[in-house]
Amino acid sequence: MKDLLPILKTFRKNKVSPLLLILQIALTFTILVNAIFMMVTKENELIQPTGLSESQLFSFSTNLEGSDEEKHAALDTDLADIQALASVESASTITSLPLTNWGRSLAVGLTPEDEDRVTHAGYYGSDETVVDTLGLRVVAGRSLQHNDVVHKYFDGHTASASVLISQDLAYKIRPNDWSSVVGETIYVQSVPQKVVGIVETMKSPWRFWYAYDMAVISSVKEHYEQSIIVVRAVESQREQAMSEVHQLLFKKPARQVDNFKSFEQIKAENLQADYAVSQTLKVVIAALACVTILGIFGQARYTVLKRKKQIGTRRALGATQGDILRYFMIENAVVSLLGVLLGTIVAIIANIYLVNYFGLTSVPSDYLISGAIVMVIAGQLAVYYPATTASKVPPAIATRAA
Amino acid sequence: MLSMRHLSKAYHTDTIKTQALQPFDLTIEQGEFVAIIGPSGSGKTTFLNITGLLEDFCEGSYELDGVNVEHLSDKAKSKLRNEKVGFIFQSFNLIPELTLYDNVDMPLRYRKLSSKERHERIMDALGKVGLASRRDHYPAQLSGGQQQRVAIARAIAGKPSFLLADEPTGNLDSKMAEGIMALLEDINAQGTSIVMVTHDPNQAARAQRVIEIRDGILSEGKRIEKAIA
Repeated sequence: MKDLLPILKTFRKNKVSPLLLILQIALTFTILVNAIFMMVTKENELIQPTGLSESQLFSFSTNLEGSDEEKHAALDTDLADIQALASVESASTITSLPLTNWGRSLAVGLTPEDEDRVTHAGYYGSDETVVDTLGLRVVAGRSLQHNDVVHKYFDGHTASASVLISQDLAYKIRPNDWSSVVGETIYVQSVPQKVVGIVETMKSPWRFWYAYDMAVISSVKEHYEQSIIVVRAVESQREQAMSEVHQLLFKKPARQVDNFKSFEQIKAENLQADYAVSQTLKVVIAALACVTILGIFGQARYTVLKRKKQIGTRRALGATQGDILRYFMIENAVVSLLGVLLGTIVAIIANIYLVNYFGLTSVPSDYLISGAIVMVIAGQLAVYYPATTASKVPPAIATRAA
Repeated sequence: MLSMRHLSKAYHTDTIKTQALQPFDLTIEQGEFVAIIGPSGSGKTTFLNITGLLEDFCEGSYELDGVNVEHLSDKAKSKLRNEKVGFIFQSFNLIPELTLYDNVDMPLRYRKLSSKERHERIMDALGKVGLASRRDHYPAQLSGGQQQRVAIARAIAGKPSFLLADEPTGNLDSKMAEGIMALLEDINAQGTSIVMVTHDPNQAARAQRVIEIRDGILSEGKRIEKAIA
């Protein structure tokens, strides 16, 4: 590190160029670290599991005609016919599905009183097949049973008596002992419901909702004019199952089928905007990183060209090629380190401000540390070529006219 | 101290070969003050560069203090240059961002010397050129003559076998030039060899020996008898 002291002394005399570069690195570092954190948070949201057997599921809505009894019978016939197909593992009627942005939200509490409300939750009405069809995992208690299930034209939660809830909802109700919620009575929109089981993951229909992780599955089959059916195909036979179900449905007269989609399609449509934001962020991050690296490269190259005679003089006075290379690499490392140090301080101050005033999540220290390491390495890579060029400046240039 | 045999230098492009130095023999002994004269473009700087190991020669052999430099690596040449040769350039070639002290320190940093020894050498060298009290000044705060004195201090701090001076008074007025010449003579009187390229016949006359280069051909000029202290 014999060059460190002269480098620092040089900075003292010639402050502007290194200071500008330090500020550029600091600013880039702050923006990059925050942008990467936002992107990773967004990406994690996008890949967050729904708890469903996504690759096997598809759903649609279909019309039911006639009186309540006729609708009920038609729905059961449809389900039985679909269930009978060899490519189908299970089929259920359900009032909505996660990520569809359509459904009902209900208040959940431990008493009927509004002021005792614990949270809200996404509401689903379905039957005893729902756990198998959606591929849910019961982590406490039991699944819904045939005896639990009631029929209702609409507003099923007012009729059902047994519910499954998501583990996150159970945790919200009783953080210290979430599994003990099984067997308890909770009040869904002030209607008492007995919790018979807890499923590991079940989301509400709205991803941006604060209670996205909270869900209640009531044991009620709603046979509304447009009922939703969700089908779980046999592993890797979903396309065939979709085709067969489609044909089956249209064998019946006056049939209307809408939103006939695989779950991936539902998910992709839901995530489309966020995916675009994430991709844009990636492009911005890449562009910013490139601009910074090119900035460092340009600055180093300019410095080498400007100091060509000085480099030749150093070589003439005994510096080896390695000495020159090392000098420029250390000079850049010092600038990069000062830049990331300043950037870290700015990022921490900005974080405190964002957390205090906007309630945003603060950037974890891991991001700052790895960001600093990456920034210094990127700086070293950017300066390597100009530094190599500098090391090849012939010593004879010292005696030639500038 | 310095022995060149049948040494020559040519520059090649795709189509043209320029013979910068015709084959020549030259020996310079310890303590000599040699002036190299010749018109512009005659090959003086090429000779100086080869002598100072800044440039390779094409044919012949060159021994510096008993070391055959022909097959030395770039790194070994850098080391030899650092230890054996002290350079004085026409335009001083000081680092403007460094103080006089740090400028003199620069070549010493490429050697494994203790900071104490470096400090002693720097202060000794700056003392010899009369600038020890201005050690913390920057080159831009000095006159041209003073800057060249700093360059001389930088050259002698490493205790080289010889100084290579390239038109050392070329950028100075006559009064300052006289001061520099007197300083070089003083250094030479203490036993350090000097090879000085110059245009000025009056300055060349102050050397013990003059070598003229004309169209790449070296010829021995007049020899001036002078006592070596």
